[in-house]
Amino acid sequence: MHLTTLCNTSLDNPTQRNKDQLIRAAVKFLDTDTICYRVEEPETLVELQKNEWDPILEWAEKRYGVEIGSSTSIMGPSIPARTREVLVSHLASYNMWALQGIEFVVTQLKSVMLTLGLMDLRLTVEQAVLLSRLEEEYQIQKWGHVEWAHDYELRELRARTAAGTLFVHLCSESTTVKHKLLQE
Amino acid sequence: MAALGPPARTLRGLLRELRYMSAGTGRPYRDTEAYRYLVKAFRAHRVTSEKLCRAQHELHFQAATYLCLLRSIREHVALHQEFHGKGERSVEEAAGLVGLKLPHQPGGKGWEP
Repeated sequence: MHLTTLCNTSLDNPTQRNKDQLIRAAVKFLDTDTICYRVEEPETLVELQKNEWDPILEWAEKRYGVEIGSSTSIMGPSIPARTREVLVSHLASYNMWALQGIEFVVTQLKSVMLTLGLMDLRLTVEQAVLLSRLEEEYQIQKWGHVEWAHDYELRELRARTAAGTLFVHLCSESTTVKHKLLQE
Repeated sequence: MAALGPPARTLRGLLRELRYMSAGTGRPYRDTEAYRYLVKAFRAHRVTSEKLCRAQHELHFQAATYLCLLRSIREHVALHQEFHGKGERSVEEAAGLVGLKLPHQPGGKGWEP
């Protein structure tokens, strides 16, 4: 009942946050964004992270005209203030309900970049979830998967992310249908 | 842009999910509002004069996201039933584990109505 839950959360606003606070909470995640936080070993995982995550970072940097970069340090990536500002003003274009949805997806995927990718239709839900769970999928490939844990959690994450994404899009869109006459 | 595949595949997936959901209710899935809406929407938005129509892509993306939602919820519930849904054993079953049977008192216990 994820969509209903999101609606109820938006109606009740149980954490009593205003728009600014929601936006800042979401952008704060950038400091520990999954796709910016890289490992140093094993070598194959480093490669995998580079091949899968770098394209998304590049896309985001180009799309928003900001610098993000990745880091292997324990402190995480250092995000320039300008990047933060740009993202804050971009998120400000969404309404309160959509922001609840965005913050929900960010919390699920542990990544602002992946969430932006979903909102801008750059990634499908399945792709975003896979990228979010990249290390886990890597370990599953190596050591085998446990159906009652791995598959269970994967389906749950997909369901929540799909619900959040759908929620944001439905809260943000406006549909106009223009019927054109067929030229004979 | 996200790799979505042909819209026909998304529609088929959505109809399949509808079929699974309607299987429990006994009502044929073609009879539901959801079915009529989906078929109408996919048909109506198929034709567009622009080669690279962003709005059409957005709608398809929404449909694909909805399909992902339905599918993963169904699979999640199925996995839950299979692995996590058993709950506690009843008293009879617990006794049966060690080869005992519950006592049977004809006339019931004193405090039962």
